[in-house]
Amino acid sequence: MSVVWKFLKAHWHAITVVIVIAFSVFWFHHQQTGFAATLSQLNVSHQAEIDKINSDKLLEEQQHAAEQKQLQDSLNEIQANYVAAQAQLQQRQSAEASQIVSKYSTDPNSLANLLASKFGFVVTN
Amino acid sequence: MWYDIEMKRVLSSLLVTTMLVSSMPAWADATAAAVSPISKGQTAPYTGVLLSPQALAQIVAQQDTVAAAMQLAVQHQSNIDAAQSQFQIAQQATTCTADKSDLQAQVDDDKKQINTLTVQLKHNTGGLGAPTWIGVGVVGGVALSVLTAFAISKVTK
Repeated sequence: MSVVWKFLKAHWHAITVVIVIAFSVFWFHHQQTGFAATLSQLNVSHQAEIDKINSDKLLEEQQHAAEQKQLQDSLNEIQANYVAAQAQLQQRQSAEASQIVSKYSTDPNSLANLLASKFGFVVTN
Repeated sequence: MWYDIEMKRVLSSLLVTTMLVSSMPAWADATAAAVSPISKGQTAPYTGVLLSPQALAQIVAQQDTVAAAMQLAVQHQSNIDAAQSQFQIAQQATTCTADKSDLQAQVDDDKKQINTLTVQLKHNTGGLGAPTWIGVGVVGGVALSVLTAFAISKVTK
């Protein structure tokens, strides 16, 4: 006991310094751990935000591509319908022309009257 | 009586002249928009263009369908415009939805950061924690023991 006491008595300054240093190290380590945990949480949250934004961007690009395709399909359908309608109109023209020819080909007076009625011409003999 | 005969001559001349002048348009006025039926071998009444029945029928048929062709073209362009407008609206809606989602993600992240930093702030400013008190207790106990031993040693000297 006396040996311990003599040791403490002789080195109490050093022992106090060691204790204070140990406590300081413990304290700063504890603070550092807390800051690291906070930064880790912030990093996780920020990473989740970045992932969400990237996911949204990818989805947006996919939807834009789908909309582009839908537009192209619509334009193709519109063009096909237009071509079909034009062909039908052309067929109607041909049928009407054939009908006029078969009906009036030997009757120039009726042909002249027909043309005059369509365009406002005057029929003269 | 001589003047009666002279007057008759004058009147006759005027009448003939008037008839000749007024009979000119009966030959057909080529300057007017006119159409004349003509049979094979017949002399054409004026210089112009002779159309075959097929050509005339084609012209008439085209005239009859020109309104329909015009309506068809207008409808075609209208359909194209509608499709493109719908495409623009869909694209804008998609972009707006994505932007909204991005902003919501940013708001969520900001809330999480605020919570995390608030907890950290409370931890740092809300007094000493349990580990600190344990450390203080250890240091205090050691110091008290040393001081007690020091005091006892002084008293017993």
